[in-house]
Amino acid sequence: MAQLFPKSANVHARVTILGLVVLICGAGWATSTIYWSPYTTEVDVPLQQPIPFSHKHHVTDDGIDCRYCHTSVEKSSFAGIPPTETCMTCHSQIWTDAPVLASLRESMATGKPLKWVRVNDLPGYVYFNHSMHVAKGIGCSNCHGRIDQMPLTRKAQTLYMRWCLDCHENPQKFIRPRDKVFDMAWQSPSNQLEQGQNLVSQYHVDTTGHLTNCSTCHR
Amino acid sequence: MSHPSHPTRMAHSSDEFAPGASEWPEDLSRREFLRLAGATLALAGFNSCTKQPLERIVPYVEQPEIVIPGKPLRFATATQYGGFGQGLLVTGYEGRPTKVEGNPTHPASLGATTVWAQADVLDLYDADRAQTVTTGGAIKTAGDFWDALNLAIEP
Repeated sequence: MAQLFPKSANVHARVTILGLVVLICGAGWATSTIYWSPYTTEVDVPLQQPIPFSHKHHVTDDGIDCRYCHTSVEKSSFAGIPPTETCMTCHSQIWTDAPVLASLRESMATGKPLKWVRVNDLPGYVYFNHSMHVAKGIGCSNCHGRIDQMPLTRKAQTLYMRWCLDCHENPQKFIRPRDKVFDMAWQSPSNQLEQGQNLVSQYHVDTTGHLTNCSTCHR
Repeated sequence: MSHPSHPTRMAHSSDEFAPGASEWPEDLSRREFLRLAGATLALAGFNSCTKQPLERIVPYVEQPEIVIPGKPLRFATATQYGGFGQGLLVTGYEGRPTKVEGNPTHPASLGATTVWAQADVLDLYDADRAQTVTTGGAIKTAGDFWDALNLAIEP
């Protein structure tokens, strides 16, 4: 009786198996690449804003403190976006004719607010509180990166849940002294783990499981 | 509450569905329906492939000093109950009232409320709620209201 399969069937089978492995790995690689690419995470992608506001200019060149504009960062869940009036404390005196600030002047004149685009947009099912993080020694730059060096505001972190948990599981790796919270240039010292451990107990950060409890953030 | 056998309920029961909604359409076979339902189920996962829509942050032009965005603001007010004022505390978020409670410093209630006062928060979102000041059906300004009030107090 003749062979049911020709000899080439061996090759076909090997190529098919290898091809499947390559295809599955390739699909996995492509998915992960897209998932972590700026296209999906929107990290480092500046968004179109009504005014091309530069944190670099206002923070680094002018030396304005974060809390001059983000007034409620120490009091509320929301750090606060400055009202038109706050911009006008300076811009009624300087750059009063700058074309780039036309919409600011229009807002002040008509009473219609500026509509900024949210850069760090958490989904609605995540509770986040700025004041709590600031009070427990988590600095602005921990999440917002070197925003003092950004000509256009962009997201510095993915805000993925894994990223949140990196710190919620091991806060001692990221916590800093309270007086350094608004220090953009702060770098973790060589003894960060040791110092972090001290700060965690000093600031009463509950590491017994509360930080990783589902309902801490998904309430 | 109407009982299922109540005559008015029976009279309306045929209005439950839009005309034709409860009949099986002629041009859709059972197999075709199951095929489409299956495809819907299989493709449902791709819902998650959408990106979050852009969200706007709209700050104040002139922010009132008492407002801290993200924090509730409680203010004292009153409603009428049985012809008397009923002192209340209302909790609001960014100008949107969400909860009505009694005002503990009000001598008549000492912080207690009635079910009607508790439900008053719904009135605030009633589409039929007055949007403006009126007198005898004619639209007036807030200035007219204060003038009339002042006139009523000091004729």
